[in-house]
Amino acid sequence: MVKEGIEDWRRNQQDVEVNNRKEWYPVSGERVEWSYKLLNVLEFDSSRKRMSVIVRNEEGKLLLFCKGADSVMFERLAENGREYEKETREHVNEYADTGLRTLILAYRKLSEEEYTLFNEKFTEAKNAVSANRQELIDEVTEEIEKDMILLGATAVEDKLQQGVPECIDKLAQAGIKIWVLTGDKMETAINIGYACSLLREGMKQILVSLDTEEITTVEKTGDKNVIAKASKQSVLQQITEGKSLVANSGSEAFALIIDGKSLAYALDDGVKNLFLDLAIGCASVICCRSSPKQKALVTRLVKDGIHKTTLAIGDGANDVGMLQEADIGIGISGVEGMQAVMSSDIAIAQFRFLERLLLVHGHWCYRRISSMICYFFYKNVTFGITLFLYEAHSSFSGQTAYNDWFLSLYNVFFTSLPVIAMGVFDQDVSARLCLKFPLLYQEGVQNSLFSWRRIVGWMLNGVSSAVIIYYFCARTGAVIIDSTWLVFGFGALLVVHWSWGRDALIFLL
Amino acid sequence: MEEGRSTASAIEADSVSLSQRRSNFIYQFTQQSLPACKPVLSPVWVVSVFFVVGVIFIPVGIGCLHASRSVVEIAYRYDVECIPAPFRGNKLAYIANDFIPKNCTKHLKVPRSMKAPIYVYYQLDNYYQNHRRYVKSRSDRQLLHGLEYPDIGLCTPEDVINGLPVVPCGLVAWSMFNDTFSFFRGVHELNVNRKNIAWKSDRDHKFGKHVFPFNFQNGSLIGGARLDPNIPLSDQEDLIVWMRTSALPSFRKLYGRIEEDLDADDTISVKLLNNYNTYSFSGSKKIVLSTSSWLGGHNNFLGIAYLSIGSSFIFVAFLFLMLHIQNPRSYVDTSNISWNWKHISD
Repeated sequence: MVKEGIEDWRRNQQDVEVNNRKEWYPVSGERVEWSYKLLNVLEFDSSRKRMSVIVRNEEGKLLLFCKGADSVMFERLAENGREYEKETREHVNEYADTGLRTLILAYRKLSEEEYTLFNEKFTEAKNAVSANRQELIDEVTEEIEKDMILLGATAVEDKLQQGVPECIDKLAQAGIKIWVLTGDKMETAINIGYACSLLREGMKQILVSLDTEEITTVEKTGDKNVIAKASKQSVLQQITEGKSLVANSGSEAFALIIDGKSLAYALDDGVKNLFLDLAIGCASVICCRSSPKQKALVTRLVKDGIHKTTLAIGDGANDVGMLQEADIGIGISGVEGMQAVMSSDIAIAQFRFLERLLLVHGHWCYRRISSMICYFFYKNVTFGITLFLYEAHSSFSGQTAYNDWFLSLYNVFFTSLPVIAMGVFDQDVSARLCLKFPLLYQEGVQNSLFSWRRIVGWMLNGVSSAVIIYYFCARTGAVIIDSTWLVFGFGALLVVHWSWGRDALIFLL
Repeated sequence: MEEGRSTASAIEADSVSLSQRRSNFIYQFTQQSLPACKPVLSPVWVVSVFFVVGVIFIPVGIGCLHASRSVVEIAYRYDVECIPAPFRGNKLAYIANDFIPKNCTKHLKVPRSMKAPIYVYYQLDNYYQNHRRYVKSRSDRQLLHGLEYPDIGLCTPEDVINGLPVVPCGLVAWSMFNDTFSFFRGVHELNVNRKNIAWKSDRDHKFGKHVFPFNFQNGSLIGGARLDPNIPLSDQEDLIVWMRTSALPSFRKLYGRIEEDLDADDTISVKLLNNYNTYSFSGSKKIVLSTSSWLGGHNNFLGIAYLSIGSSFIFVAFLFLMLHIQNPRSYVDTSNISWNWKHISD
């Protein structure tokens, strides 16, 4: 129960009412309330990185309140609004270093004319149906969100889910490479990296960012082309340096940390292959301040560049692009809504379930599918080739060796249930052991159970089974044979042959 | 950090027991670990299993071979021999001509003493009774119900002759074997029991007791035997035996049983009527007299198969033993486990 501070009392589409818990009217005992009329909401956008509201207070004054990321908010403060800027920056860095998510708050008083002008243009922009609607809106909001007075900073602890570090540890042991693509600041991201054991003590960090002094000086000039060129140059240089560092070192582990601005240049056509090479050489990669589009682009780069299976896991609406781009997209259902879940291939409830999903069920599934496919081919090859061999003895007239019912039901009754039972239930090791030895997962990654050698081996096994069955029956039954005996003989010998022959083959192979 | 880890492991331990409780039954059903011997394929096991199985198979093979060899079989091909000399060049004319007498007498020598019952078979070779068109050309319903069952379309061309249906219809019945045999030891005729040669189930349930041959072999082409229209189908055992189509092109069908013993070096005279036409498709006919053992007729295959498998198993057991002695690999040695191989390096 909140004992102090401002409390959100009531809110609807037009009004917001807040209470002050510590103040109340001395006579009536009621709490002091302030109500505001909500006029406009300038919504959050990942490119703007801020959001604002325009309200009119009880006295009729117009106010613009804005909150957003520090990189965009500090630029927009008025000259006389930067009273505690230095301390706020320090505080914000402190917060980020402890892994908290920070926001800067600011406000501005508006005059009536300014507001009416803005409202007109804003409504017009919002009602536009052209393709550049977003740009029109951005333009209008750009005009009004400036010259603000700094209010302060907030920090929110975004707790890491339970079991995440252990999960990531296990997956790394299983030989899975893990990258983190986040929208947080670099310090927050690094902190989270240490928290979930992606970054370990003794790992060398390679930082690629555009926060250097030379870049900031170039940015002050304001010339877009020059900035772009210089930034690209800087990024390229940092990446090449990183590559040589990785190449020259021996067995050290490297971590690559790159921020959103540099990522935009690193994903350019000339640079992206170098970037990919560098990233592959590092044990962990963290991309901070990345926009949803960049997340998707990085995923696509990895998918197309390495040609291995990629899995993306995320829980928010900003992960949707990434989830759809990856080979397998896993959405975590939870606090951030169902957007990720709706656009994913598989949805789980907590991050730590991924461990079981991959190491236990993924492992079993691979084994089951590969052996079931081979078994299906084997049984049909055996069946077909006995029929084929019989043709030679029936004057090639098309007479089948088996009863019609047997032909139809072979695949339905006689051979479907055992194969399906194996495909659904087979576990080579128990779940406990799968989790205990994560390296067993590599069996699936390297496709060791479904190589051409195995497939051809099963087929040849089928052919030899068929030949043995047919000639055993035909020669054993010799001349006093009837078609019904052939059926029973085939069936019995199939069963007998299967077990010992296969064991012998396993040993030999 | 540490706190997080300990709670995580505590939760893991808790969840293990929870899931165990919940899915214990399902796990036991689907993972069926029966208390059986589950041999890990270690060299000791493999060598001993191969050796034991080999040692078991060899006496079985010897037994089967012995049984097969104890069977005395006399097989004599008579279809070429029984054509009189002037017709050797034109066999078809000979067989088609009804006026040429088809009698033939041949002498068979009994190699070893044969105990009753002695089975008399006729063997046909290169005769594809398993040809698809042939196998379909019959009507089992008609065999059971006779003229009441009119739907005999599958039996063409032997379904209707001169507007009247044929009972039994179809090519299978039409091509019935019609050579006859009688056996003599010296002057004394050996009694051939021609009853009980068909399957009992066929006699009782497949051929009607009130169905009589009708309009049979009345067409221009005679395919084989004629049937007595006064005897019901369930008693026409030769027909029943013939209607059991064979699966392979070389087959024997039971003709009858001789209920007397034959001694070694006896000479049996066979008086046969060479009626059946196997000349147009270069088939061959043989008369076979055979005793039988617990394993059936004369067939060395099973015995040889068991012997060869048994001996190859013993050979393989020996080979593996030599290999194991040469390259022993203890359980502790993990260098050959697949993920310790050189190329899986990750």
